[in-house]
Amino acid sequence: MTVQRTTQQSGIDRVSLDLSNNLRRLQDSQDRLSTGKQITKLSDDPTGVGSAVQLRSSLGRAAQYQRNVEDGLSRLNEADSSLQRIVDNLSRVKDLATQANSGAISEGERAAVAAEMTQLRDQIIATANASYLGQPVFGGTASSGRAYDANGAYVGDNSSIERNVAPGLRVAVNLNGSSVFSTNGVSLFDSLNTLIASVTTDPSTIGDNALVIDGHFSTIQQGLAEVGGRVNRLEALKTHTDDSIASMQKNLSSIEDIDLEKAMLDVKTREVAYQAALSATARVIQPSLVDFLK
Amino acid sequence: MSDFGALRIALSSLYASQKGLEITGHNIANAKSEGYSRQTVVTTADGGPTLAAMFARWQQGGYGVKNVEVQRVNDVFLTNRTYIEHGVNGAAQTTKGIFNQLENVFPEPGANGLQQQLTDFWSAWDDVANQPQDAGARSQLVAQTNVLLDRMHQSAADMFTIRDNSTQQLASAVTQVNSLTDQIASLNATIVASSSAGRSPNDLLDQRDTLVKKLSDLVDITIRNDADGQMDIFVPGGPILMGSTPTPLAMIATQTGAAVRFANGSGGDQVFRGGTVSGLLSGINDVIPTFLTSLDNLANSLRDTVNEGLGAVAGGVSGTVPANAQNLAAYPTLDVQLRVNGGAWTTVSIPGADYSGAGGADALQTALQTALDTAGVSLTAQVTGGAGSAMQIALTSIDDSDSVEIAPAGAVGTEQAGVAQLFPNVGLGLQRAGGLPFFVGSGAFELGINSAIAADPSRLAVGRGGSGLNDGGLALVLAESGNRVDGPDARYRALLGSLGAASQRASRIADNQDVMTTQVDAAKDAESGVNVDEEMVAMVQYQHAYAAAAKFLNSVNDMLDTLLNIIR
Repeated sequence: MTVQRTTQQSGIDRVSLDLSNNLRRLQDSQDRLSTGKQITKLSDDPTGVGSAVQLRSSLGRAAQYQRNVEDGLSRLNEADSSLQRIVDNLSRVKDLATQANSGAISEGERAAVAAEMTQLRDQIIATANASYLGQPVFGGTASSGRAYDANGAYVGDNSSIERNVAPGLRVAVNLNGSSVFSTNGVSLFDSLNTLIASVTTDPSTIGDNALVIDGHFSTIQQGLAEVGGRVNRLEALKTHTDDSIASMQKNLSSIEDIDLEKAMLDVKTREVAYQAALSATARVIQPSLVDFLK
Repeated sequence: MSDFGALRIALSSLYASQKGLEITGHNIANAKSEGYSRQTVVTTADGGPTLAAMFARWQQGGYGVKNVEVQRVNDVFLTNRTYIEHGVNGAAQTTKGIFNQLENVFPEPGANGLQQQLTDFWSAWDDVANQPQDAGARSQLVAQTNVLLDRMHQSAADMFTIRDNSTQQLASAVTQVNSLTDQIASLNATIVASSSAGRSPNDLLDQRDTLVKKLSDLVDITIRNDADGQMDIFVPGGPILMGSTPTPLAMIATQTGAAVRFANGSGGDQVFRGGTVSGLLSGINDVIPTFLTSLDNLANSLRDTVNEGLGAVAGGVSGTVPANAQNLAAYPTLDVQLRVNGGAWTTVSIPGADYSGAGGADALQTALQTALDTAGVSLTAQVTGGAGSAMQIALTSIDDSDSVEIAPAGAVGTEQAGVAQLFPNVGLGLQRAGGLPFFVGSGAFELGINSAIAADPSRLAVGRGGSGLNDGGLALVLAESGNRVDGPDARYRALLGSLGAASQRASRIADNQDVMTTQVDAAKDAESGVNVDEEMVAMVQYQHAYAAAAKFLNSVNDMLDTLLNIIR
């Protein structure tokens, strides 16, 4: 019969290793429970860390996209209200043109109409120079700080201003005066000047020139529609980004955060294991033959 | 049988029992002594003379007990096994320790990690794109860049510290190796002396084994026991101890890390396969440099991404002209202003021609170089591509650290025929000049923000060529760089992934090896250690044997007494 020899010391060594392993596992799960985090260091879950870091970065970007969308919306809203005011002003110009074109109007009245038209034109120029945070809304990236000079000449440029609104997606948030206030290559302000000139000097051409204003009117309406479309698109993107932020946060939490019930159970189980190991240790230091020899 | 022969038997028996009892006591006394191997008394029966002698007849059964010898219970193979396992364990635990320290350099996932700073950095570019003329947004970008750089410098510095600490640890481990070999050498000498004086060297052997075990934690050793009881110890590259002559090791800090050699200079850099020393060497020379390089690559990738996004290349400016914009015949000249390192602006007139065909790149390169030389600007022009595909133009200085700026010549209105044509990806900023690199330096520790931009953020050029001051087109593109598959963010995630996986692996190996080592130690202890129960049994045996021998002596005495009393 072969008996595996053992000694008191080897038993103590083995048990104390188990004891320290158990204690470490217990502390690990206690750490998780107290921090509420599944991953406390990279090696806990290398793949999880990768995903978590990516998600955190995407979340950071999403928050920035929201800010960009807000900025774009403010810009577009500014453009929208400016265009609305210009549409109102142009309607009045058309009314005045119809009035001036009627045979019943006197010379003096026509002069008054022309004066009002000039005033309206100046108002439209002022509105077309609307700015958002110091940047002309209809002036592209112009350095001059405004889109039109006092005479209605375009001093902006044709660059588009875009915003990052989603990964890899940019949306233009400006309309340039050169396109929205220009029809068939003719500037709205030139057309207005021509109309005013007609009213003052050559009433017979008022009808034709008023038709040109109609053309501008519809271009601006198109611009309004485009602004509205972009606003809708940005609003939709905003909602979408909100949703994806929520879902990313959920994913992140599922990677990083602990499942509370499971973590509690873990701690409890390991506590029991540790206590078992402790009681085993207590028994290793058991009575030897010495106790029984007299 | 001679009458007094029986007395001799009784004496040998008493002596053997006494010796046995003594050794049992010695064993019990050393039950907790580190490295103690239990000893047993080995006896053989004294059978009397085996050769026949003239005129003598041997009628006796035996002479009692002889050769009372104390043996040390020690399994050489098991002992050697513990040295191997201790060596592997030493390396594994050290590697695990280094990885643990490295992991702490990157507190991820979390709000303080580098990823958060990178994300905030890219977002700061978005803010600049949203408000290119806003000094606040630009200052914010500079501030965020500094936060990012601080984090990066800190990470690199932490890794340097880990490397330096490991090097110090290595130096002290090597010193320890030398001190242990010295101690073993003197024990070797004592053991020989003790054996030749006829004393049992058992306890000295235990002491030596304990020292060798400590040594095996530090370096992977093989041992050879000489006939005279001395022990020779070898590391893979040669002996570190021959009898009582140690060959000390020395640590040498090298350019790239550290090396361990024999102090006498023989054999070059030593390669170890186990022990703390091998763990430290691989940490200092392989593990830490690997991750430092990854971090450096990340930093360089960050620098190149941003600088190229702003149209800057090392020591110059670059342009990419698309295929459909290479016919520049409409322009008599394309004028740009250039300056190097913030010096005086010089106007360079490049002749406009059709550069779109075959050989267009060469023609443009020659034209550019001639124009540069004529204007006295010491830059080198290089044009590649063209003939149906995009053309890359680079104007570079000899020194990579030079910064070259480019600006439209003349009034704003004429700028179309110059920078915007040939360098459409060079940003024009609030100062109407572009090409200034955003980042300077290389490597995680050295990377810095261009001091010119830090001092005056308005010099950061984020507008596309041909656009107005309110343009932030380049910043807009840069802000999305975090999503690039080959960008710094992706590199960082790759670094984290490989560090995490390697650390996990090192940790598992170390934990397994720890169990293995404990088991081998326990097995050795089970073989050589003292079992108190066993000793108790032996004690009872010897006690009874002694009592029996005494009784025997008494009987012989009685017998002789009876015999002597016959004659009165």
